[in-house]
Amino acid sequence: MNEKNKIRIGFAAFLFVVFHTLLICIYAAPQGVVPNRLKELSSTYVYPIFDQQWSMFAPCPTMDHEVEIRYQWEGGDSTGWIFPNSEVQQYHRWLRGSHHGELMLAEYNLLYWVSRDMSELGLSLNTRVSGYNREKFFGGYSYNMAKSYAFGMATYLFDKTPVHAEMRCHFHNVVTDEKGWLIIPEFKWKKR
Amino acid sequence: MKSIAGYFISDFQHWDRVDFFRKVLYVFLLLNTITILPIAWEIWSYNGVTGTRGFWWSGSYSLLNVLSHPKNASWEWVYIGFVLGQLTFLVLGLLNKWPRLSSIMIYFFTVNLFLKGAIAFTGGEVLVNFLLFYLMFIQLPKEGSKYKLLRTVLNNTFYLILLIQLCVLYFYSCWYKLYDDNWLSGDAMMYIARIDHFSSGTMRWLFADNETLSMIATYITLIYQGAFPVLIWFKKVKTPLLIVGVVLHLAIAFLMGIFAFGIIMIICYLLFVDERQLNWLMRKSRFRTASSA
Repeated sequence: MNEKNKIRIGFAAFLFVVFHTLLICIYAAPQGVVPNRLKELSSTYVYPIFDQQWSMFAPCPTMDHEVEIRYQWEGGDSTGWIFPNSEVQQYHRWLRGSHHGELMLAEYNLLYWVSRDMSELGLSLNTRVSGYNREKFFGGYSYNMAKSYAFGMATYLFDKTPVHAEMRCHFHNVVTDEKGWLIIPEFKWKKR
Repeated sequence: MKSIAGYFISDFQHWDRVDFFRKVLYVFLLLNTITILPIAWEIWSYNGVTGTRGFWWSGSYSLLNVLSHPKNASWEWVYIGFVLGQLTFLVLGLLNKWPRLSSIMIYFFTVNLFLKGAIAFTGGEVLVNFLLFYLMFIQLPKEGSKYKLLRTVLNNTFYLILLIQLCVLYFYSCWYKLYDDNWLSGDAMMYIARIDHFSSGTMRWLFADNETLSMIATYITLIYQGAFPVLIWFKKVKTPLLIVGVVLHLAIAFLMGIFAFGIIMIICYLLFVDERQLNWLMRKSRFRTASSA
């Protein structure tokens, strides 16, 4: 291949690097920095292979969350309210690098989305989601996530599949020290 | 134009570095998957803790979210295939067997596993998905291949993209934090230390009620992330910068408990260390590159 064509190929590679970098920078930029139309255009290239948002710990998390669940099994037995992650938390404290870290993250991320739905629906703490808000909550991001979480934790903890469960989400604002809980709409599963 | 193009068409100089980085990453992924095995069903099964991302037939989305296909609800063994596939090709990749195929399959299985379990993972796993994608295109050229120029261009291109990706991560990580009053005021570390999920006894003791230490740690984090994309290219400051980064990420791994993320970022520093330091690390680990195997 002659020198001119090699240069052209090299320059094309450079343009590709610029193109790729520009599009992921546009895609990952905070809202309001680039026009939405440009973001949408960049997503046609970026999503899903290079899908990225680097807002890690931004905004700074200020809520300490915890989940409490009450299960009911086939046959009518039920657990009382339990903290499914309490033992996981103990292990995670001293066994860094173990799978307990993933379970801790799953709980925290779930409750992050619950608090997002709470905020969007204008729900206050120390209540049960009911009435009109209940229907809206079903359509939110967190309900199905919470249902999967509850089902999965039942298998993890008890090696059993539940038929009914309730979840109480505890929130503690570490800045104001305000504490509260929210009981989200219950989960039901078909008997096997 | 000639000098810019010249970078991409000149012989790939970083093979040993990339090969070492790839192997270390593979070892990490192997160990990471093995540690998750006790909760593999919970993380990767359709009916597990992490739920599904939803599935629709749409180009590459479908290929990256196979484990979210509704068929997995009744074919619960599919995720086992993905785990075994990942582990198998990681071992093959480490043994330099079928490196091209191994790198493709490692990407395919890993990205599916990480996206399926997204709620239990962090930005570290997101970054690994990109790293594995880019690494697919960095391969040793075959002797006497007529595609040597193409291979050289691909190697140089995606090596540069690897480095840029890390700079993009740090740049935006800092930028997003600048929108938050708690980061700007220096209180962020104090509040994070009070959250059980991201803390430890030591972290609480250090930062939870100590405004001064919190402010120092918060601003060091901000300055480090903001300065990294610029300072990393200067030889004189690179090494101290990376040392600060290693300390920061070890703190994230052990004090905050976000283990995978901390370790992944430290592994990525292999792409930036000096040649001398890289050779030392390779000697200590008795590493042999694919080209010398």
